[in-house]
Amino acid sequence: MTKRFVLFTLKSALAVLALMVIMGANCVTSGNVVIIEEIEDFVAQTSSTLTTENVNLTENEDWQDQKEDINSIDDIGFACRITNNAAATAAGQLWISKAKQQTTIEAIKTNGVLVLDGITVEPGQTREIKWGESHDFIKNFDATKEVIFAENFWVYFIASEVPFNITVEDIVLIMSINGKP
Amino acid sequence: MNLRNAVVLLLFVVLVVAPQADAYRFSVGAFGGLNIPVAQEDAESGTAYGIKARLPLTGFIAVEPNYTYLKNGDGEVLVDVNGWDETMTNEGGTFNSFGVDLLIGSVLGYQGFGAYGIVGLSTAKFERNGLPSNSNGSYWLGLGFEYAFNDQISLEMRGKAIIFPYDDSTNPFSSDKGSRKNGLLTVGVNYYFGFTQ
Repeated sequence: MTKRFVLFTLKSALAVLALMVIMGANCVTSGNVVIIEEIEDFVAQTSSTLTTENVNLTENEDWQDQKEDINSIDDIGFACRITNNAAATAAGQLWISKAKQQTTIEAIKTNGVLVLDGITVEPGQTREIKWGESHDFIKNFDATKEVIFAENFWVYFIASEVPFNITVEDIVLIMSINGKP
Repeated sequence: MNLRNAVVLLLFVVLVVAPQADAYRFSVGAFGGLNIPVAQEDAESGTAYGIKARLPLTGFIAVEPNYTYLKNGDGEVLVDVNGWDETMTNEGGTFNSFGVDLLIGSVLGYQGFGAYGIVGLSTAKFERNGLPSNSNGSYWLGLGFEYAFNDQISLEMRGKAIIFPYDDSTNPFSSDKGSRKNGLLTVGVNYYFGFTQ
């Protein structure tokens, strides 16, 4: 019985080794971790349709610890609280662009990536969006990943109506990455 | 030849060769049980079920074309920054896998106890709400234990693992493949046709 167990263990180890050779050791040993990045509040009370924030992942310790070992970004989600202080329904889009800040809506739509669309908030209401629900609004996943991999990027909120008066608070970016667990 | 083509070719070979070889006895079965994502913070344990047919090629080797559905439980993450202090959830995702397993051991399913090792290939699709689906060739490994009440009906218990490899073409830091790995603990029933002892 002991001999059989030893043989079985050896065969199992050989099978795992064979898999590591076929697929690469990194593939067999990888796992998924969730990284959270805080983003500054948007406080937009303006007659302009454009609001901008910078996100710098080089200052995120979790991202820096993991980035050399990342095989892929598997999931991008977010959470936030949006308050509409105006008398009309608020709607808009979230765009992102790599390093250089864009200053006009035309430039953003030419050089940026549409990330979120379809969120509406009724007048005087606060809408809370959490990780799971955020996927209902995510667009252009692969293009968004390319911008995130650039590590330093700009986030733009483009309102569909002017004037608008919204506050977007408690924003967190939630990413699942595959790498060394 | 990529893995997906290999799986399709293997399925074709099974369907053509097996009936002419030792398909004097074959079975159909269904199974279900627990699906355990391994090292995945964005998914929790869920369910697994599927159907399969077993075609013995010899007395100790059989092939099993199969369909397996895995549903991960919702992933959970504690968000305790920037005004939040709560555990948020997200759909864990599902796998649909079509493949062929090679069984080595007691595979004929005659009355009594049998055990076998399992290696397999499949083409699998991983899907999650709001995100692009991901289809890839996958690898399976496992062990099965079967008790046949008579020469027609058996109960089985299996431990299997799927390795679902993939890479990310947008990643500038690495071209290495990663993978999702799920362990399955399932119980199944088989019904055998053909010769009896």
